[in-house]
Amino acid sequence: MKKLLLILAMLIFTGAICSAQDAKEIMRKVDDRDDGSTEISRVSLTSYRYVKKNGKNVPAEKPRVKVMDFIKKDYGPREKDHKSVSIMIEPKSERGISFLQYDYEEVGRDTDQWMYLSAMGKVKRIVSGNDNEPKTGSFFGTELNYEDMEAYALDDYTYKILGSETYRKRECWVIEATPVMRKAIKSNYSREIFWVDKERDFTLKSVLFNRNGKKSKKIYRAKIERIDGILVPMKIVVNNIETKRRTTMIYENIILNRPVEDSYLTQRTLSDKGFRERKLKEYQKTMM
Amino acid sequence: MMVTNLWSIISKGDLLVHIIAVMVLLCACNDASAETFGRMEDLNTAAAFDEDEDEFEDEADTAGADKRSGLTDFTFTLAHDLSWATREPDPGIVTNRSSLRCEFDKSFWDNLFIKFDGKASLYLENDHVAEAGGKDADVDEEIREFYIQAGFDRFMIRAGKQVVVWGETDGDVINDVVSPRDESEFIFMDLEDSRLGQYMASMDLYSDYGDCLFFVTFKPGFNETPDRGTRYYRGLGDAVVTEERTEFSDREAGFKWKKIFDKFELSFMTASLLQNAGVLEHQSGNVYNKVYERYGFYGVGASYTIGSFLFKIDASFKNDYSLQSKGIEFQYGKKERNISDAAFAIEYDANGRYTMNLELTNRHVFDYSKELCGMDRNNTGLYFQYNKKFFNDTLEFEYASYHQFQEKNTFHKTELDYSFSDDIELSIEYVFFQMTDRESFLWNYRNEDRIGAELKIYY
Repeated sequence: MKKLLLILAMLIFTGAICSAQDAKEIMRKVDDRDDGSTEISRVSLTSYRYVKKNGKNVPAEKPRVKVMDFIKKDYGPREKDHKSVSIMIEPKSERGISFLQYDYEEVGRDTDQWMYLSAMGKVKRIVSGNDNEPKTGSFFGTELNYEDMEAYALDDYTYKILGSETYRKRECWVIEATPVMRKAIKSNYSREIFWVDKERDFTLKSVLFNRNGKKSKKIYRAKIERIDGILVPMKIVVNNIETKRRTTMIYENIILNRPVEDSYLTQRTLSDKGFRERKLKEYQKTMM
Repeated sequence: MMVTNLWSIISKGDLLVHIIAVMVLLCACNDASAETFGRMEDLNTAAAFDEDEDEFEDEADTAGADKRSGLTDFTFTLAHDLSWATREPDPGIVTNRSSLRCEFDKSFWDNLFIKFDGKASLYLENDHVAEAGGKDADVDEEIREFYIQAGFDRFMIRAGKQVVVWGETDGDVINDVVSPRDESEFIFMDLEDSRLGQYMASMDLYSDYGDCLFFVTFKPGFNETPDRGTRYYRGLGDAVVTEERTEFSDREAGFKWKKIFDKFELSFMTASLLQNAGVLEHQSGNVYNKVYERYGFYGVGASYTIGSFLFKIDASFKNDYSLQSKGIEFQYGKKERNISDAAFAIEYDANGRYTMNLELTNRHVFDYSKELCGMDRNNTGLYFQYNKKFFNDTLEFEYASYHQFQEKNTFHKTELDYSFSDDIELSIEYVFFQMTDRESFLWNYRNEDRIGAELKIYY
């Protein structure tokens, strides 16, 4: 009998490890999916508070619309380091504000960020934040915070397959990600659940739980199109359940894998608008 | 290998073991199902998450694109500023003015770029500027920047009216010595708005060894001070002050080098400049001349970031810098001294909850003598700033204070900014002073506490 219990325990333990490994493997495929070595895009971010009216969630205020140009280039052997520039086009009150950001795959290496405010007339380095507590600041006033905008680190989570279900007519894995201790202390979320398209290794939906274990945000990825051979969600919706606010991010245009010079991803692009516009025009020409 | 081992277990065990082994085998074969793995309650909860997904009225996908019209290169800002002095002996309306600011920039041909930034102001009844002129209303206009630039891969040249900002810190003028400032509203004008353009030719060079800036200024400008009769004018009684003017042949020139070393940034600056702040020099009787003397400037700036902290340093040496002196019979004059200015700042970001900035500044006067007016050998200040945003960045609170240690003078500034929409903002500001040193320059401003509101509309 003792032997039987031992075998039983071992088998259950082995099964759990298998599940975790498979789940991680699925998430690795999602993470490794080609998203292009460069991206040149124009994005609009629409945010508003909503209320339920006649069974529909409708805006309770005039939506705030931000439009920005975004240029990103991958670096490193695994293309997991990124340099990006974000330039605010609208609203007029924020026009010209721009950000330069360097993200690194290396665990513990802080993101480098610089901001240019046209009113200030100089490029200013921004503090990347404390790694021992959550980053709570809103990204441009949207429902995304700075943690949501960080590059996803696969090893920061343990994974478990919760099941398999059809979502939006696609067969999906339902996978739970729980942050490991080093991530948990600095994350806004205690766990996340992903709906991963089995065929395309693509996350269609995710649900994020706050540090108290309550549902916090739902993120939907819709209008998935193939751009330059790469799948891109042209519309991303973030529904903040806690604040009853919603942000919709839409790619007005996007091109991938076009050459972007290293010199474009420097401080010069923030402060020298002539250079920025000229190069951007060159890059955007390839959209035609 | 794992499948083989499991199969051997199945072949040897009893029925229960078989069942469990088959379940594990299914897992190993990547055939996960809700019945097999994870917590069922999670899955059930997850399945219900879709319930409100389609309950949103779909907003226009191209909201941003629709809004953009033909005036994309222009930004107009219509503003009205109203403020009250709150303390005796002269409380009441201080400012009541409207302004229209126009900013325009455009690239054309392949390499050229033009920028214009100008503002027209209308001073209405009760505004101290209109009252000083004895008018019901007064107007003025200011072109802050208007330049053309040609850009190439490694360098850029720019000519016209420009603003140049140097230095890492903001609390005092350490390295930010190139562009003069508008001080006609004393400290009530934001630093960003106070910088004044000058006619310059500049060239930026971008290389792997760092970025360089060279500039030459033609007909250098000076700080704008309050006009006689306006609220913040503190003149010398009935003294007649003539002001030195510059010609187009007068020059300033400077050079800056900057390089980033990972988390560390370093810059060196040097320039031959005319002082932005004038010094009174007695001529005869009650006649004074305000002079702006030439001096040599050498500065270094650095910053280093780690975690939530950004450390910033500015230090400069100003050679033969003219300082105000008060001689026998209270006659003002100028004395040239070497001075060193330094600032050390720590900026802290509490992961988006709030930011704080603390700056310690010091001016040291070499060969100090008692006749130097309104300053000590060392003049130390502490600048503090706290900023917090609420409601998805639509409401912003800021508190700033500056304390001067030797004179024990302090002023505080609190500001609340609210954006009603993308294009309409309201700022409410309260500034108050705590002046204790009767001999200090700021003593004259001890009763100038002020509350103000500014509405801005962008289009």
